[in-house]
Amino acid sequence: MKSGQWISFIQKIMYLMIVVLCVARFVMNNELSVLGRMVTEAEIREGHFVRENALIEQHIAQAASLATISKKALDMGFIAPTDIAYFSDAFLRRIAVR
Amino acid sequence: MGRIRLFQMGISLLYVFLIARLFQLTVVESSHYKDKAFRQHAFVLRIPPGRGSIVDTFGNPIVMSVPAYLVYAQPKLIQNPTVFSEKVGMILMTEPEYIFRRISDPSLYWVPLAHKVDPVMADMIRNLDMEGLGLEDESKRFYPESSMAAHLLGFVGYDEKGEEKGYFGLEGMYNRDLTGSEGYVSQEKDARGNPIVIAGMKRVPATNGRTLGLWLDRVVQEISESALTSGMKKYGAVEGSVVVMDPQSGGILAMASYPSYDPQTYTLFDQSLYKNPVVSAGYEPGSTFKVLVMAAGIDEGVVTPDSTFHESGPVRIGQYSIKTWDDTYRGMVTMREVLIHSSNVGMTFVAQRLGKDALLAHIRDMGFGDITGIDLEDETSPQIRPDDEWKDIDLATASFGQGIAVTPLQMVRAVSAIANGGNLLAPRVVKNFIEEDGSVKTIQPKVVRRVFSQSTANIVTEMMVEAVDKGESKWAKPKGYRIAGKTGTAQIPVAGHYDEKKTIASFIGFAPADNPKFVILVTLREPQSSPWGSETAAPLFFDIAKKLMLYYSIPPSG
Repeated sequence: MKSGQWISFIQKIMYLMIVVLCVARFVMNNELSVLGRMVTEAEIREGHFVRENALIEQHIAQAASLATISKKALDMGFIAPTDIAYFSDAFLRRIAVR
Repeated sequence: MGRIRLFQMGISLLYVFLIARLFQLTVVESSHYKDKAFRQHAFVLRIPPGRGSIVDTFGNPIVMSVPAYLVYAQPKLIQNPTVFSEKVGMILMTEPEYIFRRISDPSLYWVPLAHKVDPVMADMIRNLDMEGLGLEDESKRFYPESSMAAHLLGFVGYDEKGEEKGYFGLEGMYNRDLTGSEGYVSQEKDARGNPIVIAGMKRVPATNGRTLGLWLDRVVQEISESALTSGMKKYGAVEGSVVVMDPQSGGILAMASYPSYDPQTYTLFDQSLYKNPVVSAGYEPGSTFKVLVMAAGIDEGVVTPDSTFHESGPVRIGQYSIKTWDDTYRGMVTMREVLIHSSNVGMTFVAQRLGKDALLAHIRDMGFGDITGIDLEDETSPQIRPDDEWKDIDLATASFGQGIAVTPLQMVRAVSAIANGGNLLAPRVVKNFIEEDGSVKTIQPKVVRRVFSQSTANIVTEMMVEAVDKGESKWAKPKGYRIAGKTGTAQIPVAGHYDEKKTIASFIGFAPADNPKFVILVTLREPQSSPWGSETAAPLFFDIAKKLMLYYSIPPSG
């Protein structure tokens, strides 16, 4: 191959490489942009879940509060304890003998 | 030739100027432009830490942080301020005129409209989809048990920089532990503002605040608060407090005062209500103080439970005359009877036997005149006058709890020393710190010093049991239980003299007497139904004690 043909060949290769690299860059940029958007969305979702979790904890705490439990207990027919009868060991032994 | 030289000089000057400018940009103003460039292609996101929760001894939340939002406006982007104000005002339940005024200031680019907005309201704001209206994440304190233990907890407000800060109680005392530390994310972004994934990203996570695990038991607190409010109503008292302490550890199981406030809406209450009277308000303890002076006398060996003295009438000290509360004099009485009948004359005898130095030494040893060091903000202690200012009459009145001021917490701590065998403990509200990773750091109970011998503690306990079984308040005592206690009725000093009609009625005691699970102090200020502790504070004490016995499944001993 003559030197002129070599130069022409190298020029073509260079042009081709430039085109390929441009396309590659375009694709890469596009990919990165999509990935970046996905990262942002994932972070938003994470924040959303964290907040949702905190709200669920709040609802659990509210549902387990003494005020709620007392109200539900009353609704279910329980009454506040006034007195408790304690059985002595001797009494329990007597019951067991009978 | 001259023109070429002129041209060369011009070019040279231009180079010099360029070099100087480059030096200015890259060296002198380097940091400014670095920051500017960083802001253009990077974003830094603040990660606020979550404020720690406060949980009771069984891990039930008393205070926690929940998501909330800051609603803001950007006035320059708002197209129709009138419509904006009406729509936003309707959701935020604020006057549209107020919002209109807020967004009409031409000098402002960003205006906060409402803090701590709940998620439902935030969704409604978001759905408006209006230009110039935005939301930012915040958090707010949530109290599942409503205003329970408000004085103990304190509240979260804002400091001068607009940052959240805890005030009073535990929120104030442990503000730094509860706050945690802020984190951030710094990352390069593209032209659309999305992060560039292969670019460098720095993420420093926020460290959430520690959770405080308390000694407080929400059931004991609820029992104390409901008994206090109903007792105050029943006896017509203007103020009242209940403190329940574990005498073996010094842990505060409950602490209630009334009138109180709601930490969620603290701004609606008078600021004078923010202080916790149990740790900051002094009162004259009256006859409840007699058990401590008696313990000092027995510990010093100057009296025994069976020591006698002749109670023949009022005792005269200088120009003053000291009488018994019922003006009845019982002749030869023992020290047991002195406590049973709550004799001021008998206690004057004990004080005289003790002498000034020993009595004052014991008073100071029991922690009076100095703060207890409890982990609550704003603890104060009434001062005890210098030793050389004590006169005979002062010693006599101090022996029955008048002329000396203490805080309810100091009283509970001192009587706890009788209950636990003689050790003065450091009172504690926080039992442990719970880190974000679940690890727990427990604070061990601390004995400050021994103030009575075991034998003295046992003897005085028995005398207090007798005082309950045979004293003025025996009618209110739950049957079958051995409870050690003492009533107190102190006149209130007003402008240099004691008001005859106004009293502080109190009762202090512990149960079960042989293995005390709790010490309770009840104080009622100016009860109207009766001025006496035996008819007001005592039944309230026994009501709480009875409920606690049921709660702790403590059977009667006889």
